[in-house]
Amino acid sequence: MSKDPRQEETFRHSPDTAWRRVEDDAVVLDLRSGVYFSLNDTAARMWELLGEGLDAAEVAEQVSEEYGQELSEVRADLGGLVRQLRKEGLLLPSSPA
Amino acid sequence: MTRAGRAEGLADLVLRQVRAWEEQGAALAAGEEEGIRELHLEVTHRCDMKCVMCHHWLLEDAGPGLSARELRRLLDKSRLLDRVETVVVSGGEPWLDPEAVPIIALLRERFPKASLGVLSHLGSARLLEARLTELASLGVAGLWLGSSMDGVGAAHDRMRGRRGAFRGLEAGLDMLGRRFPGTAVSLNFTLTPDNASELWPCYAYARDRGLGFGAQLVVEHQGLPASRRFRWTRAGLSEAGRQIALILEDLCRSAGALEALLLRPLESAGLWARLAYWGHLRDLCLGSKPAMPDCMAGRRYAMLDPEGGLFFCPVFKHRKAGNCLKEGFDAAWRSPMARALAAELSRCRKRCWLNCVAHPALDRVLKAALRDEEVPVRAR
Repeated sequence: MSKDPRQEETFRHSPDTAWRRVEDDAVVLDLRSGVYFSLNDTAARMWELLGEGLDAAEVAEQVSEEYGQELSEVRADLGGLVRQLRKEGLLLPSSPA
Repeated sequence: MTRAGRAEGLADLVLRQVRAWEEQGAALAAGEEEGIRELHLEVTHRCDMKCVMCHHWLLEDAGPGLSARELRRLLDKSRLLDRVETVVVSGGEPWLDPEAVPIIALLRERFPKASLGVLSHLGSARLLEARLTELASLGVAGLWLGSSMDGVGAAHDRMRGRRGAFRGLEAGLDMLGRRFPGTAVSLNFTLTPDNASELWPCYAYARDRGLGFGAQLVVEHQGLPASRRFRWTRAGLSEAGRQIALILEDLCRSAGALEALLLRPLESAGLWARLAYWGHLRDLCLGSKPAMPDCMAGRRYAMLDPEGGLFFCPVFKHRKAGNCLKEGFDAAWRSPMARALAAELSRCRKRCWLNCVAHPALDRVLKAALRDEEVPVRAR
């Protein structure tokens, strides 16, 4: 699984995760394996928005606006994050394939 | 995104959230006054140990100690003690005092719902068994016991100033396990420059036996006799900090701290207080300024010595606020001298971090923060 998300693609948090903000960061715990992941502030915000059902385009636009970063840069970061989250089984497509 | 799961990162991650709660809770709890909630009674100076950090055995003119009759009179006339939630009996070695059983029975009668504990070296198994059997026959239930473990084996003996002290402690613990199973026992480690490397072994000893465990830096009692003074080196404190870091990691792992943080933060206040305590102790050893929240000296704790002297702070024991046997507890507590001392202690900036004071202070601020906490997790 190495493709960037389609702009209109939406996701959901895996039900096998638990997470919370810790100061500006977030920690996501894979309840199956006990492995936890730390997300910095921007990644944590992306994770939040992805879990709220925003599609990839909306997430990138919102984060770009909130953090004052170039949209192209945010899209690239988001693509990388989504790939990693999906690889670890933390993020799932919002509707089954 | 960082894939973690390494134990070294876990404690610090959890502590970041706990510290945030401490800060929030300190602001929320500021100004809250509950009145006296803890009563600590030193009933005797008598002791058959010569602990290196203790002053009791050095007192040459120690009197007989508090009697049950005196204590009853003091308690009967007090209203300020009506809402005490925790009572701790100590000494010296309380079980050596013939008044210990009637005093403890009286305290249980007077404070039926309070947490009631006795601090003892537990080194005389036979005497301990006799006292506890007598208390049981009087219907005194729910007693917890606290003791000291400052090393394993000979290291503990050196701290106690008595060969065989560790064997005695083990014999006491074995007896408790056989004859009084279910009695909560907690061990406290006093960190000195001479025994810092024994901290983890003692923690593991307590953990493997299901005993509570805490630690604190040695207190240099102001104005009281001392058998020696303690001088920390940077290397010694660094070793202490390293040992505490190991304990923190183990606690987080064994208690499922991350799961608790994400799934049960509100129900885990005790765990957060425990981790906060150890975290601050570690930081203190590694050079940070102490982070004692309001210790509530002179407001939450009433501490009495065997002569009835009222004091507010275990570090400044020599600063007495009055004498409860002579003046009555309430009058002594409310006296201008006592209130002035309480005000002075509220401005204290000493480097202390004691189990008896820091834990309740942390409990208080953490509970205040958790009252406001929403559960932010996305649970399955």
